[in-house]
Amino acid sequence: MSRISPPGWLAGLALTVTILVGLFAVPADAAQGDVQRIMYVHVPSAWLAYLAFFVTLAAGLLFLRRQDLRFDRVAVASAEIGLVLTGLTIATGAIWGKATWGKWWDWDPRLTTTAILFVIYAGYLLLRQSIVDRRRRARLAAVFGTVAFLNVPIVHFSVLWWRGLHQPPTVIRPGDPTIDHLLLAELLASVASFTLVYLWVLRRRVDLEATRDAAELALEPAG
Amino acid sequence: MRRPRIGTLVGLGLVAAAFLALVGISLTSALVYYVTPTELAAGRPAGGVRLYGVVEPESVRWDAPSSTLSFRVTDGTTTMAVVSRSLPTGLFRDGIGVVLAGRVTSVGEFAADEVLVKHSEVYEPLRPGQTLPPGLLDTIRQEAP
Repeated sequence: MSRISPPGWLAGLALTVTILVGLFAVPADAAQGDVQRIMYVHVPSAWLAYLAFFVTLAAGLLFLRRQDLRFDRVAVASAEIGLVLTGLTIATGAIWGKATWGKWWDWDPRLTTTAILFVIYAGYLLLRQSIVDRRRRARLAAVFGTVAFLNVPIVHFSVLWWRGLHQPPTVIRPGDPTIDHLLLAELLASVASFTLVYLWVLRRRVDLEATRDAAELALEPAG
Repeated sequence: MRRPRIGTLVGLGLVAAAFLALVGISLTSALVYYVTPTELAAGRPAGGVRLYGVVEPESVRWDAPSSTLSFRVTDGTTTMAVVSRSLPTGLFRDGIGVVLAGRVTSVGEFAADEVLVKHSEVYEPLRPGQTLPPGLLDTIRQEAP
């Protein structure tokens, strides 16, 4: 049982502060009121899920190139965190949707493609579980992780390509973000906090996977 | 032994990518989440449909005895009368976009089972002293005897 390291405390503190600022310090949205504050969790969750899956893609490609299992450990750790963040995105989105749209869930293109994203990466983890050979698992996962990432831009552009209930992008769009700059600053601070937490959890999860690999190697029959 | 296996995997990946691309392309043409009043007027689908339009200002009426909400939605070209017995969220107001699930009645009205309110991607802070614009429930309260 190891203690939480300074980077861990720092990430936790940053997240706590940005959430408190988002809940109490910045003004509410003029059209939606207080419910809009859930954006400071919903949007960072979604962006960090994108980033996490990109890291899984990049680490997978690096593994295929270098055949070094360290990259595969990063890939699996990031995919797990990405899956949790996708779940958090869907959960916070449902709460926000119930309050503004009037419904927890609807088969809107953005919601549907996000649900597909969740299932794809759950499949990635299941695939890994089903392969005993360590290198074969890493190789197949790398290919799966590469193809799976194709869905990320589809999720992002779904609100522009198809008609739906979900509004189009506010920040990642051509031109000035359509959000007041004070609220934007809080949103970006929240993204930064989420990034710190992501990096810290990633680091810990990679260490855990390395320990697991070492144990697996030690248990392998000689010869 | 190793090389052809990677080749097979890359091949499988390409097949999967092609599959995803196909899904994407077919979704583009086949997935229509809602129709506009103009499209609805041209098509007249028999069954259930989702309709998107902007709530025409000053068209919202609340009939307390029958608990029926009526208003008109427009896409700028075509305007359609809507009746609903389900209440939208507090965001519902003049000029806001709504997605309605329901069907066209024999008298040409749209009977909505569900009124979902779209919100915009624009966020502005509530200034000190400023209050939220009145929602539907405030209007109903005002009109109540």
